[in-house]
Amino acid sequence: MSANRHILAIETSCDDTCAAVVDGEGRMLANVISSQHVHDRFGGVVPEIASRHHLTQVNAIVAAALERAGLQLEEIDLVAATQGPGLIGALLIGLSTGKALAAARALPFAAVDHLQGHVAANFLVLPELEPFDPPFLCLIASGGHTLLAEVRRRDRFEVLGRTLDDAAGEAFDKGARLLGLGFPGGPALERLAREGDPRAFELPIAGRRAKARGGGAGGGTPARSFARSLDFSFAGVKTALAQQLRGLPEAERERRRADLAASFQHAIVESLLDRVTQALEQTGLDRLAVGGGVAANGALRERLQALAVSVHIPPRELCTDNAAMIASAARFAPALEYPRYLHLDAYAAGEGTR
Amino acid sequence: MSDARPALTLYMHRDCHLCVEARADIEMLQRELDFDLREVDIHSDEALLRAYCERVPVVALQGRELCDLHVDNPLLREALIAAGAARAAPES
Repeated sequence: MSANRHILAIETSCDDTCAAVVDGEGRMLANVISSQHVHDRFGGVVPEIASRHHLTQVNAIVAAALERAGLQLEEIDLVAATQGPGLIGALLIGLSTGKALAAARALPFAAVDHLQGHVAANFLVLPELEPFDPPFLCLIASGGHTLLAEVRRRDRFEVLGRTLDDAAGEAFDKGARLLGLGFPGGPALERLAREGDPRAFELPIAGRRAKARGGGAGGGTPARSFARSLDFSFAGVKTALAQQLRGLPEAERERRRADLAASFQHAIVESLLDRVTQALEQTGLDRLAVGGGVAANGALRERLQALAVSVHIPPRELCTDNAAMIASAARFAPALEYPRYLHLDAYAAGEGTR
Repeated sequence: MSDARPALTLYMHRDCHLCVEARADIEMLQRELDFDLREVDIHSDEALLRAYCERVPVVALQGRELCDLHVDNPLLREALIAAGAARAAPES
C-alpha cells in the first residue's frame, strides 16, 4: 500500500473510544483515544455503560482523528474496525460505525482482530522507534487478555499459551482492590510496590512448584502438564494475597502494604518472565515484542529488557487499546469490497488466528 | 420542611437492565424512607427520548436530576431526607 493511501480505523472493544488514521506505509497521521473514567466508581468496566459512552463519543472521535490527520472522509481509501474479542455491545458500536462510514462511500472495509491489532502495533512507523518486523515472540498482557504469540508473518500469529483464568492486568487490578487502592489499580499498585520488598512475602508463581518437582521433564498431573505448557494463571496469586491479608493483624496489614504490593507484583512479573523465557527457548526466536497495558509496568519492562534478546516495546499509548494498531493490522488484513462486509458481526471471545 | 411526601421520578426504558437495577435500589430505599415513586418510560415522549436515550436510568427528585446510569444510594438518601422524607413505618 502506498504512502498516499489512507486507512481510517475504529476500536471500541472495551472502555476506550478510539479512532486513528494511518497511511499505506504504516505512518501514524492521527491517534485519538477517549477513555471512559465513568467506570472507576464501579470498580470495573460496566459493559452497558461502556456501550452507551461509545455511542455518544464515536462520531466526535472519528471527526477528531480526521481533523488531526488533515483529511476529509473523501480522502480515506480503506475503513477498518475491531471485530473482536471484547465486550460485545461495545464492539458493535465501533464495527457498525466503521461499516456505515465505508458503505456510505462504497469503500472497502477490513474487520480486524483486536489481538492481531496488538501484534501489529509493532509494525507502525514512528519517528522515535523503528518498526519491528517478524519473526518475533509477542507477549500481550492487558486487563482483558494475556497470551504469548509466535509471529512469523505480518497477517497472522499462532497462540503458544494464554491465561487459563484472570488476565495479568486484571490480577493487578484485583490485587490493588484488595490493598484498598481503587480502580484501575495497576499504576497505584506499582507506585506502592516501589517502596516495598518484593521478597517480603512468598506468593505463588504459577507452574514453578510443579516444575521444581520435575514437572518440566515428565509426569501427567494437571499441575505438571500446566508447568510444561506456555499457559498462564493468576487466580492463585490473587487468592494467596487475600489469604495473607486475612492472616495479618490490621496494624501489621497497614504497615506492610508496600511489601505486600511489591511481593504481589513480583509474583506476576516472574510468572510472565518464566513463560517468555520458556517460549523463546522452545521457538528458537531471539526477538520479543510486548503489548497491552501491563507493558507499562516498570518492573516488567526492567526484567524484559535484561533478557539477552532484542526487545521492542511500543510507546504506552500504542500498548494500551488504540485504533492506530487496528489500522496497522488492516494494512495486511484482507479487505472486503462494498457491500460484502455489511453482514459482518462482532465476536466476544476467542483469539482470531486465521 | 414540607408535610408532603417527596416525589421521586425514575426515567427508564423497559428493556434496560440498568433501569431494573435502579428500580430495585429505589424500592430498597422505600423500605427505609417514605416517598412517592413515579416511573416514566422515555419512549412515551420524543423530548424525553432525545434527552435521556443513552443516560437511563435517570433519577430526579422534585424535578431536579440527581443521578444517571445508576442509583447513587448515599446521595439519594441524603437528598430525600433533605426534601423531608420521613422514616417509613416498619413492616409488620
